[in-house]
Amino acid sequence: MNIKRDLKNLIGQLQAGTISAADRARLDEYIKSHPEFADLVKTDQILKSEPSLFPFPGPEKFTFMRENVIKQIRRHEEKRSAVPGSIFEQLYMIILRPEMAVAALTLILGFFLGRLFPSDKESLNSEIIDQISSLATKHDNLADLKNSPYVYSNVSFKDHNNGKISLSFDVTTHLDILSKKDDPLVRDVMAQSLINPSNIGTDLKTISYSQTMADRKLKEALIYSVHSAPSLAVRLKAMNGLQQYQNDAEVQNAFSKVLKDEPSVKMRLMAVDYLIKSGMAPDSLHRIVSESNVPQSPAVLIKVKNYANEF
Amino acid sequence: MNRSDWNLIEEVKSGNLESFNELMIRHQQTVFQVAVSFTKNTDDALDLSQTIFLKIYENLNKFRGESQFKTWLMRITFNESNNWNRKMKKRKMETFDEYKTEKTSDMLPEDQYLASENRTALLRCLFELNTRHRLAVVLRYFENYSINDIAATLDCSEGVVKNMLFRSLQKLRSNLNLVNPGVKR
Repeated sequence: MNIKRDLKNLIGQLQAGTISAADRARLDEYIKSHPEFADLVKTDQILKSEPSLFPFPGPEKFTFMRENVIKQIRRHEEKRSAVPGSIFEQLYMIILRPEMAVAALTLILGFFLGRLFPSDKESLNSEIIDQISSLATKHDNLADLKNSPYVYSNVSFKDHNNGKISLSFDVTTHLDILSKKDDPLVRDVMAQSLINPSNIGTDLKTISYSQTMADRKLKEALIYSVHSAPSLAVRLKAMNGLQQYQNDAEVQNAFSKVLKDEPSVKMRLMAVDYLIKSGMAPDSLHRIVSESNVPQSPAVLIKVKNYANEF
Repeated sequence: MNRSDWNLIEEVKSGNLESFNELMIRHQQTVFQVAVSFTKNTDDALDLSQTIFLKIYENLNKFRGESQFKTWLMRITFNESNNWNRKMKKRKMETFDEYKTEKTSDMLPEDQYLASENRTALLRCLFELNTRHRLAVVLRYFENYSINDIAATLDCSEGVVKNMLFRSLQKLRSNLNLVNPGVKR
C-alpha cells in the first residue's frame, strides 16, 4: 500500500480521534522516516493541547450577555402585545384560537372543495356564460344576433359607474333531440315543462304523453300541476294523468286536498272517484268533505253518500 | 438529540424564557468559540453571541428536531458569523496580546513566551483559513464535534470534512514551524 496515502489516512483518524492504539504505533513508526508528516502530527498535538481558541470571558460577562438577550426578547414581546400588529398579524392571532381555527379551516376547505367540485348550477352557468361570451365576440350585426341559438329575456341591469355593469337575464335556446322514451333527459324536460308552464296546448300535450310512462318526477310534476296550473283544463288533464298511480299515498293526499280546496266541482267529483277506487273508507271520505274549505256541491255530497250506502 | 435540550426547547416554545436562559448557558461557550474565530476579540465575540442567540430564539419555532440541536444551532452561528464578517471586512486586524497574558499567567516566563508565540501564530494562521475550514477546525479541536456532526453542520460528506481538516493541518503546520524549532519541515 502507498505509505503516504496510509499516513494520510492515519492522520485523518488521529484528527477524528478514532485512531486505535495499534494504528497509532504504526503512525509513530512511519513518521520517523517522514518528517513532513511528523510536523502534521505535532501540529495536531498543539491544537489538541489548546483548551480554547481564546480564553473564555468570565462568567459575569456571559451572564451580562444572556441578560441582554432576555431583555431584548421581553422588549420585543411587549412591543408586539402593546401595539396592534398588522391586519395579517391580528388575523393570525385570531386564527390561533381553536374555535376560530376550526371555523377558518372549514371555510378554507369549503372554498377549495367548492373550487374543485363546483355545484352543477355554478358549473353550468359558467359554461353557458363562456359559450354566450364567445358567441357575442363573433356577432357583427343584428342579423347575427337574430340567428343566435340563444335568446336573452327578463333582463335587468345596474350600472356601477366604474365602467362595470351587473346584468341579470334568462338565457333560452331551442334544442331538437331524438331519444328513447325512458331517457332521463326526456322525463326531466317533460317535468320541467309542467312546473314552468309555457302554454296550455303544450302542457296538455305533455300530460298526455306523460300518461304513457310512470315516473316519480313526472308524478310529482303532475301533482304540482293539479294544485298550481292556472288553467282548469290543464289541472283536469293532470288529474287524469295521475289516475295511473293507483293506491299511491302521495296521489291520495293530492286528491284529498283537491276535494277540500278545489273550486272546480268537476275536479272534486274526479277526486271522489279516485279516492273510492283506491279504497278509502266512507268515514274518511266524509270527514274530508265535511272539512272542506269550499262550499260543497250537492253532486259531490250525493256521490259520497251513495258510496257510504253501498259500502 | 439531547433530550434535555429538546425539553427546554419545548418549554421555550410555550413561552418560558428561563428555559431559554438555560439553553444559552449550555451552548454559550461553543457559540462564543465560533464567534471569536470570526471577530478575533472577546468583546465583539460576546456581541456577536448575543445576536446569534436572538436569531436562535426567533427561529426556534422552525426547529422540528429533525437534526441535532447542536448542529442546527451551529448552522445559525456560522451564518451569523459570516454576516458579521461581511459587515466588518474593512475592519483592522486585531492583535492577540490579550490572550497571551490571560491564558499563561502561571507559567514560567520562557514557556509563557513560547506558548504565547505558538498561540499567536496558530490564531493568525487560523484566521487565514477560509471560514468553512476554520469552522471545521474550531468544532473538531475546541468543541470536540465528531466528523459526522461537522458534516451535518456544514451540510457536506464526512470525506469532505476529513479532507478539510487535513488541508487545514497542513496550512497551520507551516506557521507553527516558525516558533517550534523541534518540528522539522
